[in-house]
Amino acid sequence: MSAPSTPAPPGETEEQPRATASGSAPQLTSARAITWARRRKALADFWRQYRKQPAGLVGLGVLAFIALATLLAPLYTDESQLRAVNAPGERLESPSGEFWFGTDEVGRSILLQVVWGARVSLQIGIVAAVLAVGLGTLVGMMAAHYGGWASWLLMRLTDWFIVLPSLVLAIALVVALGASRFTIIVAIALTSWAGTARLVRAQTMSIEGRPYLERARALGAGHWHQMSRHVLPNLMPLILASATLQVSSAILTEASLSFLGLGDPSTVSWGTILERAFHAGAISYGAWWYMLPPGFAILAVVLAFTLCGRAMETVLNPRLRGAR
Amino acid sequence: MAEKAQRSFLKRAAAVSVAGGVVLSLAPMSGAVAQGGGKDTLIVGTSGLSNIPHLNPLDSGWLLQGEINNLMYTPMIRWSQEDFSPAPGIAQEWESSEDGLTWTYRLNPDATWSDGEPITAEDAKFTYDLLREDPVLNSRHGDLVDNFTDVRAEDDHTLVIEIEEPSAMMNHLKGVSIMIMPEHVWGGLDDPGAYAGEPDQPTSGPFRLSEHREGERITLAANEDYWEGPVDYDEFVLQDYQTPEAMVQALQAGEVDLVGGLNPQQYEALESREGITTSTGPGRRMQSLTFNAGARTQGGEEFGDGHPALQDPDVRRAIAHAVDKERIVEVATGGFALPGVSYVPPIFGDLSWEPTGDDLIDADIEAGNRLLDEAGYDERDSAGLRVDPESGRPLEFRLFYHSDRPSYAIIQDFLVDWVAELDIRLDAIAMDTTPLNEEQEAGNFDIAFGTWNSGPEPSETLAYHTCARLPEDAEPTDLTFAFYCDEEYDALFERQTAETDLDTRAGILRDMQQLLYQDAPAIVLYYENQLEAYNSERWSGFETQPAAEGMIREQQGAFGYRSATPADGAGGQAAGSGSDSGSALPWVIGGLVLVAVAGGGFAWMQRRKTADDRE
Repeated sequence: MSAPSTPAPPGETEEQPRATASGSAPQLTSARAITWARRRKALADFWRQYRKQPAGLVGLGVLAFIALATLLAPLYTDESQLRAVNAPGERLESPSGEFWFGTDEVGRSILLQVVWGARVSLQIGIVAAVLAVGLGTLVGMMAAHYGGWASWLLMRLTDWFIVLPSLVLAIALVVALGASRFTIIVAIALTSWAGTARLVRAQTMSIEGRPYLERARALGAGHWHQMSRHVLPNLMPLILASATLQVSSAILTEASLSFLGLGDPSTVSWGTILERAFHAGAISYGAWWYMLPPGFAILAVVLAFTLCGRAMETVLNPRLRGAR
Repeated sequence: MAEKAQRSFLKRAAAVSVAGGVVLSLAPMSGAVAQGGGKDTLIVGTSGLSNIPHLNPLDSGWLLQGEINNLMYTPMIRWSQEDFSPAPGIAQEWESSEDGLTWTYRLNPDATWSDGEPITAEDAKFTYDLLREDPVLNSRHGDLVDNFTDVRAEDDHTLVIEIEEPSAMMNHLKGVSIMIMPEHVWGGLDDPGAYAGEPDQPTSGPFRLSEHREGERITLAANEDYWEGPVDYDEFVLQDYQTPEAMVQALQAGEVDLVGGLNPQQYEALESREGITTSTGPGRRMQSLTFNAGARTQGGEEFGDGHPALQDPDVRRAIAHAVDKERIVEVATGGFALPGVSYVPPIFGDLSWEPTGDDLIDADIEAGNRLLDEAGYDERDSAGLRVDPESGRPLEFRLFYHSDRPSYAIIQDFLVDWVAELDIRLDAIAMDTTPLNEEQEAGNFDIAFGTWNSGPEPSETLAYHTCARLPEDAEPTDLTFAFYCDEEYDALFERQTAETDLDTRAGILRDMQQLLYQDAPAIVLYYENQLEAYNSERWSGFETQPAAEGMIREQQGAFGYRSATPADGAGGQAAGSGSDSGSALPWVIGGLVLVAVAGGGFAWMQRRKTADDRE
């Protein structure tokens, strides 16, 4: 087998090492070791490509900073000051040395709320995105693999979810199930899996058409073996990029739902801060420090996830890379 | 005029979709309500117009329906502007016989309908007979008219009512809750209970209906020859806004002349605006914590899952000791409220009770702990909570609050921490209004937040604590607040019902409030101020009720709207002073953020699209 003229995209390196490893790499003793070596190489390739994209690096940096700030929050802030009883400031103080982003209508620091709000917003965003992408992958793979009436049924279901206005559906779901962190996650996941399903179905069909899968089938591989050993590993990069982008939209949806009063009122998230600011009359009062920080926080995180997702997509898709 | 917070699933959904429409409602309104043709129009901004199903003056339960009724009709007996005492309306004077069973009302001979016909005792008799016979209307006013044995018109201007049992209500005939209807029109209606309000019907007040666009706007035209003196302008419009914030912006833009229901921040922001005058005064809306004092039937069968320790007044009083009402008023309302006592707000004068000396349950944790120790709650469980000696359960109560009311979220924060100092745990649980009401009505709660509007007739509210309000069978009921039942209280209630001397009755009503305060089936946290603002470049002269420091909107009468006078030449004036750099800045910044966020999202969508296209 001749070496490819362009570097193979990491997502499609599955068969080449296997073909060459049998003769020319006797130092690798087991199939497992071969697989891992291949994966390490793919990852290193991926990182080399990713590193070439400044936007992706900026996004990654912002995300790392936010993740650190969020995880370490208990070390440098006092959570008890989120309770109205312990509010340290006066009502709607403007930004000052003590309160960098001012205070809310009870006297709590806005900065503190934004830092702690990140936990809820990120948690909901990430969990919902993982669920949505997981569901989308499952549906997409099944539809592509089984074909026939099952595919038809699953795809019509997917189409149906794609054409439904997702925010309206999410609102209806949350209203029906009652507002809580769990229901918001479920609502977001249920309304945003359909795009991934279509993407995954297309990619699965292209993978299943490759000769090595035909060989595997000829050797008697079952559905499960084909899916888990051959198709899914090849899908992973695509799924990862899709999930990263999905997080952005999940965080935005969470903020929208909370802003509309459907959030969990007992916790602080960026959306609920915005909602409270609106109801407290921050606009009339001119309390810009109440609305801007959570707004910018949403902006920063969404942007960072989008940049990372874009960069990943570019790495995985050589045609996009060429366009740069 | 009690309005219990009731919002259904659909309304909640509607509220949400509506919040999404904020941006739309902030856009300048169409010219439909703009002033034109030299007509003076008073435009009042409100929210909740979509709750109003119809405008039947005899079947009104909402505050807004009451406001419209007061503008269109004159009651037999008014609540005075001064202090809510009974004052002449269509009836000039009234007296009862020695035994209190025959009441004679003398009607004002000058009173006329807006079509010129005189208002006679026959109209009054017709109305009261209607209330006694029509099932729909009777369900709303039976408390008064079911006691009537005979209603007759002695002559055109003398009405005599015979009653079965002496009744304090005969002193005011339910004030503005019952309006007299014209027999010459209503006599021809097939089903008066289904009347929904039609334009240009004859009315007995300063206005008549000209248009009702459901959920949007109610337009009233002034009666030029109203018998008590017409108003100084031509038209009254009640315009619906989806959120108070949109209303505030509309006031600043000159699209609306008077708004109420502001929050402290909005009020303070408007205070400093030129051309806008703010007005505040103690209101009649109260916020309270209701205990499950033992849900049971008339027969004593217990139901629901309330904590048994809350049936003990000592526990409830100890919790009351932990509540610092002054602090709550300061933080949750910015000081625009009065600390609460009982169910009759102080604006109703001598009907309202004030605790003094030993009666006062002040914010005193030690007193609360002492009370609990003496009552036998001195054991602690492994978590350090007090234990109820009878049931053996730790004192751990659920505290239900409404997820859509921001001030409750703040207050519950305080309550949980304060009550923890009594070694009692509160588990605050946020719920939607509808399920919260359902759980409360079924007795499945320990402590719940609630709100209530008290009217000038206190017995309508105080009745909610009588034993008679307990359900017959173990079924949900909204006729009682706390499933409270006390013999002494019931005896006092009976006495005030039959007492026709106003001062003696006020004394009994105060005794009842004192008893409720001590037994604490509920803790009244505070009475909210009415926070209002109006465009003083265009309007002046709004009088309040009560006359000193009262409210303009939501009066028990139409004194504020009747006294309004337009500024000279205001009729043709263009809307407000328009854009003002002072308020524009935050908008610009907010707008930029919005654009940035939306732009980011859009760009992302675009990129995704082009990526797909390039495949």
